[in-house]
Amino acid sequence: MLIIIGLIFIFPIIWMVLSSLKLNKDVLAIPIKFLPPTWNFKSYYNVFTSQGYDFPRYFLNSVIVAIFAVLINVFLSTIAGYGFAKYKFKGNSFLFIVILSTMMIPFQSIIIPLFVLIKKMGLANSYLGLILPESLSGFCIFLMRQFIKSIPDEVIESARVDGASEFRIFFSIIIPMSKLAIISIIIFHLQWVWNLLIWPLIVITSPEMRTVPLGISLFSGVYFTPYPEQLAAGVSAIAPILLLYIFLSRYFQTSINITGLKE
Amino acid sequence: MKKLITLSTVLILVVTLIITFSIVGCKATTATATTAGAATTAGAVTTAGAATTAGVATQKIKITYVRWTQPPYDDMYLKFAKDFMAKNPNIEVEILFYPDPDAPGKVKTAMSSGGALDCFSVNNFESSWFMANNTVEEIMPSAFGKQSLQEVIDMWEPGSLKVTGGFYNDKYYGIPEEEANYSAWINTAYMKEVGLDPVKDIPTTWDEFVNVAKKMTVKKGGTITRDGFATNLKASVFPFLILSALMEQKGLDWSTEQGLLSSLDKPEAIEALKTFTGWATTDGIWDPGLFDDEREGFGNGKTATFLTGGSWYWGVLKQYSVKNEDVMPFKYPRFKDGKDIGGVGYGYTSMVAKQSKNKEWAWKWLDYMSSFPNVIITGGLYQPRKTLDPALVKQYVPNSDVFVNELPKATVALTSTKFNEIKDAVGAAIDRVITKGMSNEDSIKQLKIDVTQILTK
Amino acid sequence: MKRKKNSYYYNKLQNYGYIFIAPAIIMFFIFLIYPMIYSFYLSFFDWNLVGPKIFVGFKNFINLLSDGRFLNSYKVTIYFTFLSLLIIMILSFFLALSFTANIRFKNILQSMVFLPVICTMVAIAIVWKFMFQSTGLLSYISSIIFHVKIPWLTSYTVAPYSMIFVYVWKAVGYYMVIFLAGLLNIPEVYYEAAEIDGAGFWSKLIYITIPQLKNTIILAFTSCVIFTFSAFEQQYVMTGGGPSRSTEVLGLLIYKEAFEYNKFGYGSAISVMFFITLLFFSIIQLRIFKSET
Repeated sequence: MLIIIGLIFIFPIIWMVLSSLKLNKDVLAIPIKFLPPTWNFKSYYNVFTSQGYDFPRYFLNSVIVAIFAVLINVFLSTIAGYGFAKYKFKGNSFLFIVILSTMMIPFQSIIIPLFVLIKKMGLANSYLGLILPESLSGFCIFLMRQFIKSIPDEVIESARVDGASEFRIFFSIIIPMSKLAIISIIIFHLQWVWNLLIWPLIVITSPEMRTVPLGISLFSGVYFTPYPEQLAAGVSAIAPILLLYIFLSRYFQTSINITGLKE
Repeated sequence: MKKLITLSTVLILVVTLIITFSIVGCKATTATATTAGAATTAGAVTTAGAATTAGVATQKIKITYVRWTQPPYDDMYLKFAKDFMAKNPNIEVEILFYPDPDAPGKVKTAMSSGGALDCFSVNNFESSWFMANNTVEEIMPSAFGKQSLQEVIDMWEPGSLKVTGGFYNDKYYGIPEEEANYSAWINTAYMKEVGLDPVKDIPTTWDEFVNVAKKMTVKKGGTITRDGFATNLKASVFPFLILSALMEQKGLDWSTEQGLLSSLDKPEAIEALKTFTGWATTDGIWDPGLFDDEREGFGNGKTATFLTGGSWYWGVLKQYSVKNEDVMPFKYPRFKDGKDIGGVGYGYTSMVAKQSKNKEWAWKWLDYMSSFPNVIITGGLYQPRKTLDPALVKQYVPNSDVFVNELPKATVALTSTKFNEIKDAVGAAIDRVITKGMSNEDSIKQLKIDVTQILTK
Repeated sequence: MKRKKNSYYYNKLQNYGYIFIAPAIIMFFIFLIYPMIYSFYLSFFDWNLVGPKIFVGFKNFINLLSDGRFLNSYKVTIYFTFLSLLIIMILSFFLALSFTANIRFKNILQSMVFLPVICTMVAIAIVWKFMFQSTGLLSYISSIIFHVKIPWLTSYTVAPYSMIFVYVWKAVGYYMVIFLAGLLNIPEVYYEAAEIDGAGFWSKLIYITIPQLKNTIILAFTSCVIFTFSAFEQQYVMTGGGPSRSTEVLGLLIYKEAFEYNKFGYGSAISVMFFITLLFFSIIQLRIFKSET
C-alpha cells in the first residue's frame, strides 16, 4: 500500500529522468512516449560542457553558498531557539512573533529594499551577498524552539544545580538532545537554499557567480527551450541533495532520544 | 571558563571561515576562465574595500551591456565584444545575458539601485516605459561619427527606429537591434495530407483560414490531437498581438492608449474578438490545453498553423522535428472588407542609460555591435541597417518577400508605459470568453472598465 | 534561604535569554526586518522603481479594497491554503505514523515521498505541464480508465484543484519529516507503560501521541499556513495565474504589480494586507493551541 503511494510520489521524477534522456522532439511527443525511443545521453554531456553556461562552476557556487548558509543557520537557530524556548525574559513572546513575522511577508516584497541594502554594503554579486540573507530562516528558529521546549526543564535545572554555566548547558545538554531537530533544519534549510531562484536572480549579475537554479532557468529560451538539457540539469541538481537526505535520514532514524532523568 | 572559550572559539572559527571564503571567492572569480569568452570578466565585487578597477594601472573603461539570452546569437555578440575590445584596448565590455522576460526587470533593478549599467536592448513593448520615465539618453550623433541626428537615422531603413521602439514623444533614444513582423505560418505537408494545394489553397481571408484549419484539425475520440491553429493563451502577449492585428484590420486604432479605449465602444471590436475567440469556442480548431507554446507546438507538428512567427523562426524550426521544407510563411489573412494590414511589426531597440558614466563609449559599442547585420542574418534575424545585403536576406530568410513586403503594412503595436497592464487586461478578456464561456459583448464591456481603470488610476 | 537566593538568581538567569537570541535578532533585523518595514513604508507611496516616490497616503489601500482582481486573488489564496492545509496535514501525519513502524524499505519509501520536496520547481513544472496537457499522461489515464475528460489547466473550475494536487505532492514530504521527528522524540517508555495497561492503537494515539506532539503540531500547522499562503513559483511557472485568474494567488499578484506593472507602492500595499492576514491567522493558531493544554 505504501509502496503504491511511494510510486505515485516518485513517478513524475522518473518521468523527468527518462525525459532528460530523450531527444527534444520526443519529450513532448503525441502519443506519449514513456521510454525514450532513442536514448540521448548527450543531454547531460551538453549541460556540463555547454559553452555559454558553466554548470560545473554553478554547482561550485551553489555548494559554497549552501554550506555556509546552512552552517550559519544552524548556529543562529539553535541558540535563538534555546533562548526563546527556555528563558522567560521580557519581550520573549513579542520578539518571537517578530521573528515569525519575517516568514509572513512574501520574499518578492522585500527583494528591492534588501537588494538596495546589499548593494550599499558592497555585497552585490558576491558570495556573502547570497550567504548572509539566505542564512536566515524564521522557520528554523520556530522549529528549534518547539523541539527544545519539549526538553524537560528538570534536566536543565539539575545541571544548573550541579554548577554548570548557561553556555555549558547549551553545548553539553541541549545540543545533543536536539540532534533530530538539528538534522531536520539542516535538511530543510539546505534544500531551500539549494533550490532558491528568486534571490540569486536579483543579486547575481555576472555569469560566473550564478547558482544552479539560475542556470537551469536560463535554458528557457525565448523561442526555443532545449528540454532534455533543462531536465538533465534539473536531475543533476536533485542528485546531491537526495544523497545527503538519504544519508541524513539514516542518521535520523538511529538518533532516537531517550529522555528521562537518570537519577 | 572553558565553556566560554568553546563558544567564542566556535564563533571566531565560523567568522574566519566566512571571511576566508569570501576572499577566496573574490579571487576565484577573477581566476576562473569561463568558456563564455573574454567578454565576461570579473564583475564580482565582494566585501567593501575590494574595489577592482580603482587605482589599477590600466584605468579601463567598463561598459556593461544587458540583453536577453538567445542561442545561437549569444556567441555572436560575445565575439563582437571581443573584437571591439581588441580594437579599443582601453575599453572593457561586459555582456550580461538574462532570460527575455527577466531582462527588462533586471535593467529596472539596476536603475533603481544605481547598479552598473551602461546600455541595454529591450523590445519595443517595454521600451516606452524607459523613455517615458526619463531613464535613457537621446541618441548621440558624435559617437556614430555623424554631425546630425538625421544622419544617424538614415543609417537604418526608414521608419525602423520607430517600429523597433526607439522613438517617443518626438525624440529618438534607441537604435534598431532587430526588426520583425509576424506572419502566418502553415504546415504544407499537412495541407497535402488533406488534399489541399499548398500554393492555391493558402488562405487570404479569415474565413478561408478557418476552413483550411478545420480540415487539418485531427481529433481522436473527441480530443483534439492536432490543432488547426494555436497560440499560447497563458502568455497574454501573443493573443494580444494577434487581436491587435484583427482590430486594426477592422479599422480600429490599437496603437495608442486612447485609440484602444475608444475602440471598445464600437461594434467592430466585438466582431474582431468574436473572430479570435471563435477559433477555440465555435470553430473547434484550437484546444488551448493541447500545449502552451505555439512555436514549439508548430515545430513539433501539433498545430497546422500559427500566427506569431517572424523570419527568425526559420532558425528555430531547425531544432524541431517538422522539416523546413514542409513549412511556409504566408501573408496574414485579411477580413473580407477589412483594411489591408498585416501582422504586428515589432522589434528590439538598444539604448543608453542615463546613469552611464561613459555614454559616448556606450553608444560606440552599440553602434559596433549593430554593424554586422550580414552576420546576424545567417540565423534568420533581420536587422534593418542599410548595410544589409539583400542577397543574403533572400538566402537566409526563405520567403523573405512575405516579411519584407509586409513590413510596411504591419500592424503598429500599442505604445504605452502601461503596456503590461493593458496587455494582461486584453489577455484576460480573451481568456474569459474561451475558458469561462462569457459572451464576447460582456467581455468587451469588462475590458473597457479595466482599461479605463488602468489609464486613470 | 536557598529558595530566596534561587528566585533572585533565577530571575537574573533569564536574562541569558537575551544573549542567546541576540545574534539572530541582529541578523534578522538588518536583512529581513528593515526591508520589511521599508516595504510597508512604500505602501503609502506610488513608485515605479526609477522615478520619485509620490506620497499618496491611504490611496493604495482604498483602491485595493475595491479592486476585483485583488479580492479574487485573496479568495483564491485562502481557498488554496486551507484546502491544501487539510490534505497535507492528514496525509503527512498518516505517512509519518506509518514510517515509525518497522516496515521493509522504510528508508527508500521515505526518500521517495520526500523527493518532490527537493526538486527545483522550474524543472519539475515542465513535467507536470506535460502531464496536464490535453494529450498528456494524466488526461490519458483519466480518459482511458475513468472515461472522463478532465480539463486540468484549461478550466477555471478545475485548475485550482490541479494546483492543489501538485502543491500537496510537493509539500507532503516536508511535513512528514516534521511529524516524524516529533514522533521519534516521544520516549518509548510511555508506549510501553501504556501497553502494559492494555491500551490499544487508538488509545495510544489519542492519549499519548497527540498530546506529546503538541509542539510539533503547532509548528506544522502554523508553518503550513504561512508557506502555502505564500505559494508563488508554482503558479508563476505552470499557469501564470490563469485560466481566468482562477489560480492567481496573492504571491503572484504582488509579483505582477511590482515587477511587471512597475506599481511598487501598490504591490507593497498588497504585501501589507498579506502580512496582516497571516499575522492574524498565526496569532489565532498560537492562541488556540496554547489554551489546549
